[in-house]
Amino acid sequence: MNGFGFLTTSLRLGPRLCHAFALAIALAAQRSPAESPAPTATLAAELQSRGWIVSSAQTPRGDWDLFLMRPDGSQRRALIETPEFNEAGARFSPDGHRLLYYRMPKGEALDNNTYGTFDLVLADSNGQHAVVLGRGFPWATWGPDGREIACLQPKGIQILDPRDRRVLRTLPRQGIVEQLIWSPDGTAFTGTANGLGPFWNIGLLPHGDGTIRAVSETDRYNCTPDWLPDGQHIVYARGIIPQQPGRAELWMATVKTQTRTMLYAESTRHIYGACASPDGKYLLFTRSVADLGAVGQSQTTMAVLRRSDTPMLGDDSPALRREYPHANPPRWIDLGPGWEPHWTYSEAPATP
Amino acid sequence: MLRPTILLLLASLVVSCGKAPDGTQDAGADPQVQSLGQVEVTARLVELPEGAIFQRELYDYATILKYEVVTSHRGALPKGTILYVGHYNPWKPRPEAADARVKEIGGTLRRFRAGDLHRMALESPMDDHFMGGIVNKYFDQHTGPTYWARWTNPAH
Repeated sequence: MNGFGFLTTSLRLGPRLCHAFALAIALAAQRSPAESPAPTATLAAELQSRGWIVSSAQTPRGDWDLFLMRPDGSQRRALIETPEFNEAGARFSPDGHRLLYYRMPKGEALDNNTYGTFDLVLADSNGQHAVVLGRGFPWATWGPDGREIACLQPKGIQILDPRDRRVLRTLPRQGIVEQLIWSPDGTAFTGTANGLGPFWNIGLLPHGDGTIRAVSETDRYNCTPDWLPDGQHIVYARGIIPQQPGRAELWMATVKTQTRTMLYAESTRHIYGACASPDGKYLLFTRSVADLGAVGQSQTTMAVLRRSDTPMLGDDSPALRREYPHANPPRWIDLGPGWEPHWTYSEAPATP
Repeated sequence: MLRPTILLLLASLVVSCGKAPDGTQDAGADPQVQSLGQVEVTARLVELPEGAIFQRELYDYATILKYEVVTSHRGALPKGTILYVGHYNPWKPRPEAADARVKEIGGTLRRFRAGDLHRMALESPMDDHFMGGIVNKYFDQHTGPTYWARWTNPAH
């Protein structure tokens, strides 16, 4: 399937999707003809019925809303439409029935490093029954059973009951400053952390009395970590060494062996915001022409690939090929514009 | 009648009245530096590590700089204490450093230079006041508190 497959599917879904259609038209003019390397039809067929992806994307009005789509990019539709706000950082609860996301005034620039400091909103995963909790819940992440959330406060990691916002316990954050993610088995956190090296790195913090440790290299910028469902691997954006050229790449750390592996890299895109499918077989990530922080002018799109096809290079860069001589050629699906995506196999997000 | 050189000497004594022997008691003083934070010191910037300060519009960050206390104005940091101080977006002049994310910082210092004296109002620990990326070239060299610069003035 080519990168514009979601267009034809969206057209069949009626006038309610006019915003998504207008967005797709606008994006079709921007997208490079090199997107979605062939052959990807088999991959698209594998993915089509594997649940739903939520992500944030800019609308023709200029604000950022939440969109829902199938993992092959089809059936793209608006999930949360609020012209006066930007929405970002959506994550499904483990059972796929709930959604957390952040909301900010439209005038606030969307930024990789700050979106989690605005108003936390909890809703059903189909967008209904949204409740704005407000600004006191930075960088929220679902607990393993979805009955608790953890937030990153200056004084520590707060575990809360989202129903009554009661703080159940507080743990030292040990330098984690953003992008907090609770492990699927509940035993640890990962996040972007200070103090593990001269720059910000990916930290693994055991839940309890443990001490944080770096799982990324510590001589460069690293960010946007997420757990694989097995709780044994963390995917993250391996950034550049300061003041040196390069692009952020998608890497994976193995917790037990403390080893790291390149999964996907391109010579002309920065790779951020990775997450895995709920069974860990596929990886979802973003490709940005301009580096993040600020997302607005970065020309960020999303892509999905099979984990078994990694390591993979997205282009024919001789420099990357020298660095990763055994990497596979590109085989991924372009999912169009989007940022900070998340994935559930539940059908609840599309159920009225 | 007093000779002019003696008059000049007397005048300089009058002007320096109230200063510490090292001349730092009043330098850099203003209402903000004298009231903000828990600690107020005049300290010498020991060095500027390579790569500690860079202009990168993509990130708002803080950098950790190493100081030696010359004069303690408030708080209990005796002369000679080595301090590690976090400055927000250090490539910006202090009057322009505050933004929507970090509102309560400032000062009159325009540029960080190794060896300069700074009069600073400080908070501690830094983690209570700033949650964001930190460039810390000393991350493996100290385990004590890291201070957060609320107000930074030149003191020379």
